[in-house]
Amino acid sequence: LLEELYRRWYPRVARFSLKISGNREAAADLAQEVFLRVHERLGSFRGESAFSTWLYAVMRSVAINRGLAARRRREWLVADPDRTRPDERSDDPTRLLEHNDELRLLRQTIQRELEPLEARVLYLHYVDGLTLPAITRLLELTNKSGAKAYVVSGKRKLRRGLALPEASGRAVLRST
Amino acid sequence: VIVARRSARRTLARAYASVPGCPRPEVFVAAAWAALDPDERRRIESHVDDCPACAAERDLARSFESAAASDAADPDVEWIVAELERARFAPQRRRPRVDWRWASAAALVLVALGAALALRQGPPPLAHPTSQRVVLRGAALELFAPRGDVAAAPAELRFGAVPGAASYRVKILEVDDTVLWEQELAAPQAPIPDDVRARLGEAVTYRIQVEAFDANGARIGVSAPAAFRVVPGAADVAGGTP
Repeated sequence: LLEELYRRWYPRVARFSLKISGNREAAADLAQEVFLRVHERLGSFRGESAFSTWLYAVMRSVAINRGLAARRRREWLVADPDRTRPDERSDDPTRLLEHNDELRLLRQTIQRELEPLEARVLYLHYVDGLTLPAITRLLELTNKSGAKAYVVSGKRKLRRGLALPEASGRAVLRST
Repeated sequence: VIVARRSARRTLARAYASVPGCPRPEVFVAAAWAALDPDERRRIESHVDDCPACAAERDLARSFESAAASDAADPDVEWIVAELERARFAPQRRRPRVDWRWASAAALVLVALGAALALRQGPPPLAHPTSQRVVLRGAALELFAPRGDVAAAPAELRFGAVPGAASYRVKILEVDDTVLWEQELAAPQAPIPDDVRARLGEAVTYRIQVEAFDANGARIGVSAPAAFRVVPGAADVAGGTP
């Protein structure tokens, strides 16, 4: 049964891995990690959802964690640890309140200023950690510069919506 | 520059996450969607109209569906499938590919850090000799915290004491087995250093591994697989104290 399950899902996971990774070597690594995770966790699959749903959750988690981990490794190789402690962990309630107000403003600006596709591309890039080429393939974007164009225009609109000068806007919304 | 990049991602993630009622991302897979109650489906559809994060997750799930549904011949897909078949029957996991540029840079950083630590701390503590003998099963060494979704970067790691254990080795790892923190302990709890906590990304899964050693250095226990994520707003039941 397990053999049949794997054989059935290998090509499907391979295709999605290829969309995310862009080349077959990286896609094979990703797909292999997905099936290692599936193998480790198969005991926890209780059949309450379809296997495709469960497999997607595993695949999404592996792909996103790999993307974010790679990004953090790039950052930490050149980072000064003393400078990278995020100041938003402060317990000062005034600061937290200010921060929440800023988040609300940013959220409203995203909804008001951005085209739906721009908002989705920014999310997939910044939050899910997917690369711009991967987003271009996943969303089947056919414009010349793909997802990059949506990130650039989305950031420009956010800066304008937040009334940020160009320099500070760069600090808040710097692309990777 | 680094601070700005990390901060931008965190800020955007929190801004996107501030709408209540987001469903789990896998709900957008066709099979899960079809299994939903019609009222719940309508509620989610209405939510997605106002939530770009869920709209993006729906796009991602649809992309998975379309890849899964395709049966077009593709030599790259066939090659990947062959690799998967080969790996399945191979005795060991295929070694991950190494990006030597980053590996070299990382090695230099580690050598520098090691030299600095050696100068500051003198000779290193004796390492635990490896042992093939595992007396306790994984379940016998129970990890208390952090586990599951926690609201903030955990300040402390706690686990159940193992009878006869003289020391413990704890590790926090990323999902690709990169060690984020490793520590030798005499007691079954330890504060997690601030610099480690600062490196824990939101909504990222981390694994925890604990090993117990007796006075002779033989490994007598190992924890069952456990993981945690920092998810702001999560009901914090397992050690996510700020």
